Amino acid sequence: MAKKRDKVILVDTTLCTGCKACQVACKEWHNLPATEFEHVPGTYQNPADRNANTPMLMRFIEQYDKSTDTMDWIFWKDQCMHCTDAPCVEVCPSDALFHHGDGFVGFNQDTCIGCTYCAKVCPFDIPRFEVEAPTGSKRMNKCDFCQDRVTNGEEPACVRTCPTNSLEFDTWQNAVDKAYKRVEEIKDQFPDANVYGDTEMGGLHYIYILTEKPETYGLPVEPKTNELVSFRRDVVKPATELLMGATAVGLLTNLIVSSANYGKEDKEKDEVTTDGDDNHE
Amino acid sequence: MNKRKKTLVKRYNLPDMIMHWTVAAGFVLALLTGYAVFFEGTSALLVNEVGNFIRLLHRIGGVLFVVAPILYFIFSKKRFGFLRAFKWNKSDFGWLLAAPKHYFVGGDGMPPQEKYNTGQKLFYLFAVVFGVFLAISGFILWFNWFSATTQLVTLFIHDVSAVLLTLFFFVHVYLVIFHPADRTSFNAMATGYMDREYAKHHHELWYNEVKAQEEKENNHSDFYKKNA
Repeated sequence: MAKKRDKVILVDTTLCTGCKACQVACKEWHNLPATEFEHVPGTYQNPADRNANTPMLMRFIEQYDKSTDTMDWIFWKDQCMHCTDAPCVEVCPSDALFHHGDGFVGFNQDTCIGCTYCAKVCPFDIPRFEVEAPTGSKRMNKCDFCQDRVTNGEEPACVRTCPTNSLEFDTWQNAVDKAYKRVEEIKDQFPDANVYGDTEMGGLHYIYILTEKPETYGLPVEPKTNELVSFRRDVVKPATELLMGATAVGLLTNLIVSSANYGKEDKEKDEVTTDGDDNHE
Repeated sequence: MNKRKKTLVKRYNLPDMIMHWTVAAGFVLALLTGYAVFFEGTSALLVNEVGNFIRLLHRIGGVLFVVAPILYFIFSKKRFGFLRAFKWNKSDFGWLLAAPKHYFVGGDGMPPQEKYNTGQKLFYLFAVVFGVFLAISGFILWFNWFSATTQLVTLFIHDVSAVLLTLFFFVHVYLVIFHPADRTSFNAMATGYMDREYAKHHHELWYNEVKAQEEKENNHSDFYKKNA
């Protein structure tokens, strides 16, 4: 479970105006180049998906309700959720992904080898890679919680830049309490309002105040880690080490025992064959 | 009969040997690079450039491992030779029962063997079955065309196949390089020729076949010499 004093970003979607300042601030702080404009029909979303140069994306969803003849315009901030029980950290072979002391999932891009294991286990489909032939992928990129800023007592770039206080930087327990209070306040206007992130994956380090059900946003209702991840860690890897060790010991034993035994036999044989050769000549 | 033929018997052709050693080189390359990523102890080595180079080498190894048998299958006359690995009979179980004593202590009591003994057939079987598993799962992991869950299952298959094949590979290498009685058989795959005594002893059924063939050829040439 997430610790009470963990650092967390609270997202109040009711205050968000979809200005994308956070998306730009993120790119600016991480010094990432612009990407080609991608037109996503019917929305203001750009680009269509996150990529190695856009680790954070404002997603726009438009919903038309026939019964009331009203239009709902939903936007939400999509990036790494910084799980407490993060499967990506578990499978990362080069320690590029790690649990930061403040609770979020830190990322050291210099040791990323582009194996894409994290992408195979992430319940939120977050990791994006620099594409490279022929291996297919190079370095991964994702939200790193502005670990350089946070470690030095600053707010993450997106929080710093948010003009409507839709983003708030707080401790975990404070943020969850605030979120539930806020949901109570807006229940009349948004009957489906809910808090997302306090129970998911052992507690996310992004807490969302959502006005609609999570599935409306494309968020997994019950994100979970595939059982193969723990099976690989607890069974496959130890079994591999054990079997390799056992094989090595077995072969070494065989070498010692057989060398002793075959040596004897060879001597006897040698004597016989030498005799035989003598007879021939 | 020249002197070489007197003590040695032909076992492999050049294409057989090229195929074997290409597969071996590819497998070892993929094995070393694969376990560098698999085991956590090597994680300190893995930084951008080194990690990418390791992943590139792993793919080169994989391609050698897969392409060599495919070319062999297309061009060699012995393309269906691998089917021997699937032909098992009662004497194979006799071999398995007698093998531990034979390999540790020595002595006879092993049922006479064909070109490949039961242990070799078993390794061949492993190589064909898990080699195909590795090739297919490796291909799926290389190209991100499949869903994340599919790839995770594929990774599991890749891991397990690799482990099983690696263990047997250790035994295979050990026997031909270190085992006091069997290390002479290394020459067969290195030069194409096997020691006659060894062949008679370890592959009796095959040796008898070869000998009968040789005698037939000798008689044949004698026949022509006489009539020349």
